[in-house]
Amino acid sequence: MNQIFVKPEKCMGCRSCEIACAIQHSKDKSLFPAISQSPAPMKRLFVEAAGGTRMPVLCRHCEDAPCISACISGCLYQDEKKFVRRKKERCIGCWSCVMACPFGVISRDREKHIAVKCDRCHKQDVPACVNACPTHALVLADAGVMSEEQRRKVVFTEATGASR
Amino acid sequence: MEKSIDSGTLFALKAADTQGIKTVWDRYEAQKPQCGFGETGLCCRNCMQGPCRIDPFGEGPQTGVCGANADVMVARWVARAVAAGTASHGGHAKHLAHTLLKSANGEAPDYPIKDEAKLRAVAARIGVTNVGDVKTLARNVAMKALEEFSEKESPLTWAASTMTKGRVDTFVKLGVVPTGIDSVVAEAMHRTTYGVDADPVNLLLGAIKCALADYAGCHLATDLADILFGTPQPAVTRANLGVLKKNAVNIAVHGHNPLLSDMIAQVADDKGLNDKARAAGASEGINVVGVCCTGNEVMMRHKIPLATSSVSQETAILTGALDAMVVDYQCIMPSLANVAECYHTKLITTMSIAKIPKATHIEFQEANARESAAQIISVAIDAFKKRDPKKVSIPDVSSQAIVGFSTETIIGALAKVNKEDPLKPLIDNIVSGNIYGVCLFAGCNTVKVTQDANYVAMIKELAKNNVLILATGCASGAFARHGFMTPEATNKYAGPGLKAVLTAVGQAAGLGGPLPLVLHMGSCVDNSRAADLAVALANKLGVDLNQLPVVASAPEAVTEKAVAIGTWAVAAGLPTHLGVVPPVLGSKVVTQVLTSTAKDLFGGYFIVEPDPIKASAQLLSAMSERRKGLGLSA
Amino acid sequence: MRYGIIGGSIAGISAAKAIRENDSSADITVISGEKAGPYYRPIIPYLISGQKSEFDILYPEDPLRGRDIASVLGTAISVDAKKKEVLLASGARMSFDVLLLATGSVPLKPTIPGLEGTDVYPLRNMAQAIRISNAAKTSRSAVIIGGGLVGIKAALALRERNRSMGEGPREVTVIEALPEILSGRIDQRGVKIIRAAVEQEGVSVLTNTRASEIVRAQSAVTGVKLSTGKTLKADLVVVAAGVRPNITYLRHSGIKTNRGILVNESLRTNVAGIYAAGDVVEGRELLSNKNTVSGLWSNALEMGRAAGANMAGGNVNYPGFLSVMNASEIAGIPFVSAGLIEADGGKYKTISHEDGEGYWKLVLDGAFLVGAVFVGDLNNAGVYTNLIKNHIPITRVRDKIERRIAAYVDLMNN
Repeated sequence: MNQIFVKPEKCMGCRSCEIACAIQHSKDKSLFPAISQSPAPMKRLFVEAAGGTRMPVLCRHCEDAPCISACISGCLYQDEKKFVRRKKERCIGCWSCVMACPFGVISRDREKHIAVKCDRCHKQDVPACVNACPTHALVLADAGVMSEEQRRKVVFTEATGASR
Repeated sequence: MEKSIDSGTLFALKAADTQGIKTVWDRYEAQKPQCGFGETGLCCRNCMQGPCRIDPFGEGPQTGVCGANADVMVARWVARAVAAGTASHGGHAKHLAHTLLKSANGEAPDYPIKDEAKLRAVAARIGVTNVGDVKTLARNVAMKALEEFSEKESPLTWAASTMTKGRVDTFVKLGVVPTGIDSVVAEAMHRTTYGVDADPVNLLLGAIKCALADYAGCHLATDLADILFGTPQPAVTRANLGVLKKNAVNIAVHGHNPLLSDMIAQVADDKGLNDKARAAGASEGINVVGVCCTGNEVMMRHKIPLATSSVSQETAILTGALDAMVVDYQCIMPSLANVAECYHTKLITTMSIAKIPKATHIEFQEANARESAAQIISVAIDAFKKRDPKKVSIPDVSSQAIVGFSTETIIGALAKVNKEDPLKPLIDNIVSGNIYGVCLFAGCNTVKVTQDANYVAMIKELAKNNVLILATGCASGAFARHGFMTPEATNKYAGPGLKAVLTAVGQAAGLGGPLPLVLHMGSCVDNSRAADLAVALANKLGVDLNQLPVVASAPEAVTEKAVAIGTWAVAAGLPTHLGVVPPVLGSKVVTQVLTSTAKDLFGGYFIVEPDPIKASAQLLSAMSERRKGLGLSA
Repeated sequence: MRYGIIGGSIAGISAAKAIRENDSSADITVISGEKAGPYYRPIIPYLISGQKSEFDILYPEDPLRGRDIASVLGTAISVDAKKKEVLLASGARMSFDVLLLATGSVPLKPTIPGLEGTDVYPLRNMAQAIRISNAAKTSRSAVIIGGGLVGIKAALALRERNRSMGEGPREVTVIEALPEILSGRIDQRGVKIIRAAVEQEGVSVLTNTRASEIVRAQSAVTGVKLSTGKTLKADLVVVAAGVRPNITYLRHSGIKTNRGILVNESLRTNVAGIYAAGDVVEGRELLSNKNTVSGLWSNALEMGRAAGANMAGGNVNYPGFLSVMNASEIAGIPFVSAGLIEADGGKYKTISHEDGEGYWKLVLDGAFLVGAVFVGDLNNAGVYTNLIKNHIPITRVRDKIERRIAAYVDLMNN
């Protein structure tokens, strides 16, 4: 199965992925309407920096997802492609998933009062963030096909849960 | 990384923290990570087919839509940054030239010619012969100065008449002689626009040509400021936030041009205004303090203490004791309005080209400058009445600073040692190795470097090795805050040779002790003073600037003006250190030209090194190479 | 192998799933007293407010479906450990080889004169929430006994019903015997912010106050007399005065209990083949190192999972849980609190900050983050709770952690 991998050494910190993500989750799915949409569309991944590292942090779609375990309303679930997704109408805004996600990639939609997270752009083959990355720091690849060496270089090879 | 090593700044930042006020450091944190394309210079927004960026890893596009590659993009940025810096210094200088003209025409009575000797010296240098009275001479100098801005048929007078012959020949040979300050800025904009110059080396030469106009602009600004306000003489004052007074109406002048700050300093002595301040409850009357470069201007001419500088400008307001911050232009962070809003402080803008929403704008009129200044001071007195004593917390921190070493002053002091040949003692000591070399520190403070850390680390390293230290701009602020502009610092940090020289000159000049470790030469336009000193030395020795053991360093640089100054320093033949990596690394060609090829062409070159100890070592080795070249002990 | 599970909520369900994953031929039976089937217990206050229907809070699909797990509706009244048999209230018996006790907890019933009778409702399960919801339709004034999470959420739900549906009590009062509401769920500073918001929503909060009598006219409740002497008008009383583990049916079983069922690190009771999980367990609290009862959904889930795996021959170690790991939004104030939320100096370092955005607090024990409270801004809360939960030492990123600006990338550099 194709997964999103991050190559931190290639990330320029340009946040193109953040913008593309917000556009993808906007009403019109294009830049100019998206920037004037109110409330503003929300991105689901976050370019962060620490020390010499910068990279987008995004949902790993954990196999044993702490957010699903924490969800007390039956909103979060793993779909048939193993993507961790929301049944939006079930979210009550209790933020248990926000508390549980060790990557800090679930945020709050303050207007709609629901949790917001990456849906892996499940309706399309290539997620918007991967498409937007000018340096291929975000790549879509099949973990099974990647060589051992390639795997060691990327982050997010394991869909681990709470423990690192 | 720590924000600062300055205790005054750290004190004020604590207050910001407890009150939840955001400062430049918080905003920097919020910007992280900063975009790597920007950091490497690999994005271009010069046309509307863009924006374009180049993948530095080679997988993505290697050219923009128009075909410009990394080298072109980066070189264009360099040229445009230099142009912006040149436009700023030029604007500053032009403002002074107009005022000098008004003064000569009797239209600016508050700006009399204060330094006739300087006027005559400048006039003689630029070939304005004395025709009549001082006013006529001043008018002719002002007209000549204004001519410098448009395109002439001849080289810029202020560049050609102040450089060594060797330099001028080199500039002519390489085709980088500017003929007008504003015109070369325009040319830089022209050649960097869509579809003009696509040769990175040619673009860089264009940048150098523009930078030489920046040099002329700086020199012009220094000359005219001296004519209007007096050539600086040594003055003893203090620096750091502790110079704010609890019981005074505190007014900070911030920005660059002495046209504003000098007038505020003059009018602040007015008895009526001081009575008004005391009547408002300020028992110590009016207390003017400086911030940034204009702080340097009034520090050396009026002993006005320096509150803070550059990156920490917001801290003056954070003391809760600043009643007004009066600004002109350049390096004024728009955030000042937001910080001032948390206090009673009035942020007062004065220039038509530099307004800030939420600030109070009082247009500064040269024609009735004293009146404008008085109006500004009255606003400050009114603000004082609204000061909240509970919010006042001034750190008890300030250091003594002996400032105001203009080239004339330094030569004057040397003349006390050798009246007939003032430069001889300096040259003898350079030859003997008592003075290993000269380093000019210039530039800013930046959030990217722990404030003052590079300055302090480097001065200790260089002084220990007998390097004579000159400083301008916000570099001066850093050294002043940390007590390096004192005789004590000379005793503590100077190597034996340097200490002996500074002591001998200090004694001869009647100071009763050594000169301070750092010779404060003024604001950032006053880098021209350091250039003058170097040119005098070179001419005396019969060599060119690129042979002297003279280097420059901007270890905490920020602005486009710093890029322009650094570039002309390189063109002038100086090894020039930058402690912050400029956005050029995306181009191998540009990096190569600036750090290496430039040496073959001009003798000067950039040394980019964030580590202050390593940078010091590289500067020492550059001086060593120069000494060897002159046949001196290395 | 026959596996019996008493209790059909999250601990029982998680255990059943774990057993099936480890033993494909297992014969699994879950006994549950809930007619409606499995549902999300923590959100039953939404039935009171009318924001959700019974259907809405059921699992979107039966979590046990397709796993060949038998469900039995019933209530266990005793366990015979020797015969390996569970006796149900219906008289039916279920025999087992391995048994899980996941019977959760039952509401504590305070001894207050007049408590027994109409108009007084405990709140622990779906059926009780529906009864309160029905009673609320005609109620004018309600009193909630107990200012814990359940009591406060019930009170706000009643107000919400009044606001959005135009029916239900206009006056809602929470009485709490302790000096502050939400005791142990959030720290003192945080609770002040939340309490103010709760009161802003029109809920009266009386702390340091007990109910001394439920006043009735004939059978109907007319008021609640308070320990302060005052009497509040009331026609509806919700009892949310805490819970206790549901263990009375184990009285003669030989299974060791204290407040709850005692287990080892495999979640096994003192009797071989019998395990326990969820709110019924009295287990080790990791920060205090003392025995306590958890009461948290996520802990119950983890215990169920571990117990189920162990029942099926696995070897999952479950050293204990954190008793504070809460996220919620109360009266418009989102908050997260985790671990040690109120440290009394000593070896602990507490850092806190409050501004317009909200309030946060961190408690450190040397290199370890042991407690965190976030009120208002919950960004990256999980990064912090992960440090607490997994006892990850902080090394290089201390500064950013302490300034509450750490993100996941910082931990990669830790």
